[in-house]
Amino acid sequence: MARLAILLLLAGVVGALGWLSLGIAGGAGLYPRIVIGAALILLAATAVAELRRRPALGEADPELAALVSASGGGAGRTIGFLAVWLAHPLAMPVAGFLLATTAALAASLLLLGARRRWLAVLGACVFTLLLSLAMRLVIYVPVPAVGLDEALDRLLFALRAGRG
Amino acid sequence: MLDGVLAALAPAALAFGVVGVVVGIVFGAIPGLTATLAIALFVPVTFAMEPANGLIMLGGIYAGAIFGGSISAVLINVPGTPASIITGWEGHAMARQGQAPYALGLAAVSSGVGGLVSALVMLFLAPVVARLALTFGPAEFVALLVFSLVVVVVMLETPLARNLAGCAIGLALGTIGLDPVNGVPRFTFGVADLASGLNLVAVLIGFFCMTQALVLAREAAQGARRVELAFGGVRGAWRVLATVVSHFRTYLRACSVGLFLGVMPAIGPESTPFVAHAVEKRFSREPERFGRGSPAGLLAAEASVSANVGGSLIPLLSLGIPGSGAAAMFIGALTLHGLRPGPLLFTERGDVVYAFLGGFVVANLAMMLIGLFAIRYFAVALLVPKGVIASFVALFSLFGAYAVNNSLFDVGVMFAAAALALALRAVSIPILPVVLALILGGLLEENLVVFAITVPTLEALLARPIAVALFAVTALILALTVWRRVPGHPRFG
Repeated sequence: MARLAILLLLAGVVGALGWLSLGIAGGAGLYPRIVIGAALILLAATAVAELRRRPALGEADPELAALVSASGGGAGRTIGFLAVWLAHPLAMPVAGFLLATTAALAASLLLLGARRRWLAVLGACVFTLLLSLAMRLVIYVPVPAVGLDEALDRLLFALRAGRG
Repeated sequence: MLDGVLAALAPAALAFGVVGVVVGIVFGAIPGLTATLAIALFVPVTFAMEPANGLIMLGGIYAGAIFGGSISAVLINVPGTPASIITGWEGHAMARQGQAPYALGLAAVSSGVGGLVSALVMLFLAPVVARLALTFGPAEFVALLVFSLVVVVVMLETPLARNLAGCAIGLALGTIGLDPVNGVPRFTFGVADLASGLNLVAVLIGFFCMTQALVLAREAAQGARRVELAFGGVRGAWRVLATVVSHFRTYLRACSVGLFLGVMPAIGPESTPFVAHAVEKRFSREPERFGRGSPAGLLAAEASVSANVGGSLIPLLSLGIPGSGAAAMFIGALTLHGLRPGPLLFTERGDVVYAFLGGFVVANLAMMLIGLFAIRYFAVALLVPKGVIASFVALFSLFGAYAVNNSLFDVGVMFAAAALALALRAVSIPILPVVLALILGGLLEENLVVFAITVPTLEALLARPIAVALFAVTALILALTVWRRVPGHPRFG
């Protein structure tokens, strides 16, 4: 039943896109209408096949079956892991890259059973600092900068100015 | 030519080639850091170098980065680059059987073989092959793209309707953004970040890396044990070499596919392994092993990608037309060193071009040696606890999705893609046709529009024999597949 619900949800999203495609002006909407129409027909054929056989969720996919299974323990920690990394991009503009990433990495390691907790926290701090330096000095990827990040920028600027 | 090749054997050139390969491997192994980014970052570094040495280093980075993505793909099923998706499929299945060192060695040596073949073709046939590419117009491109999609759709063992549904969903996702002809926004909901379409790298990271991080996290949370590894020492190198030698025909087919698709402008290395893998499965005596850890499938995917890399440099050097995003970066590098890519490049600056091609051969030989004797030891990464791997895969997935456009919106796209991938897996719709259709969708639509205008009648189409032949082969493959899957046929099911 879960599979059929997911299939109907997919068909619903594709159908909504199809509905929106009717409002696209001129010839720009023709190609999307064709591919979305094809997708809807094929999803309908798949739904009919599902109704006939009704296989279980993750029947041919042991990894997925293990992921969605409530048995075996650790489901709460897996959900916690997902929540940590979903929260990370939301926290970055508020807390800055250094703080948000250190906290997320440390929390993730602790949730997934790091044996030495102090090492997980220390490792997260050191790794995030190195990654932050690499992004500033090597690959030039600007990240949201708040508090600690700005302090790091000022320190790097002072070091460069001192060398110059 | 000989002088140029000898220049590539100078100690400095050799060193720059090897350094390039190593740098490329490191970049490729990290999800989100692509060959294009690595080359873009190192183009300014080559400014102070001799032009030949600088280009040799960039060639090494290109070849190394394309292979580097395979390391994480084999070890933890996290493709470092979009071109490593099939490698992850086959290589990781082998790794799960305790053959990670063997799979890594095979991948590296095959990558070297593919690159070597393409380098030799570049050395001797570049102008001829480039002229062939120019005969491809919109009709041929449409036929080739439809052929590529159909080959992958029929190759998968899942029901045909589901494979086609995946393909249609991928094509539909590819329509998000501005219409390529009129510039009309489609499904952008007023969001400026969607105007240029979904960020492909972010989507692929969501499909393959974030979902794998979740799987690894679940295994870690359940207390999964570490795997046992057998490196095999020198005997391991011999085993790799024996497998490579015994698959001569596989390499021939994969390199042909890779070179052909590489020479075609705008068809990058991402889609090549899908087609090469599907073609190899058709020829294989053990098609049932494909997708379950088949060495032939792994060899075909890796060799075709590397052959594609060399192939994409042929139109670049001979005609000034880049065959992929990374090849386009080479135009910047060539211009920086005062070289103008095009038909006169081989005559005016043959010394630099042939030194570069010789260096590309050396870089690929270096990759083969690394593959035979060193890369297997990367498998020690499997000894790291799964919780640690899952955490870092998640971090690099976020970082990789963000770093392409420095946009948190792309991180959201990555999470949405991960959710879609899980939903598709839940209803047994395979992800591979979705990915290939998403990669090729924009190109298909552009060429379809021009095709409809320039080839308005059947007579006009019949005047283009390559397109007609490709359409005919595609129709035949599709018809045969439908017929074989009809209930009652001996090969049904």
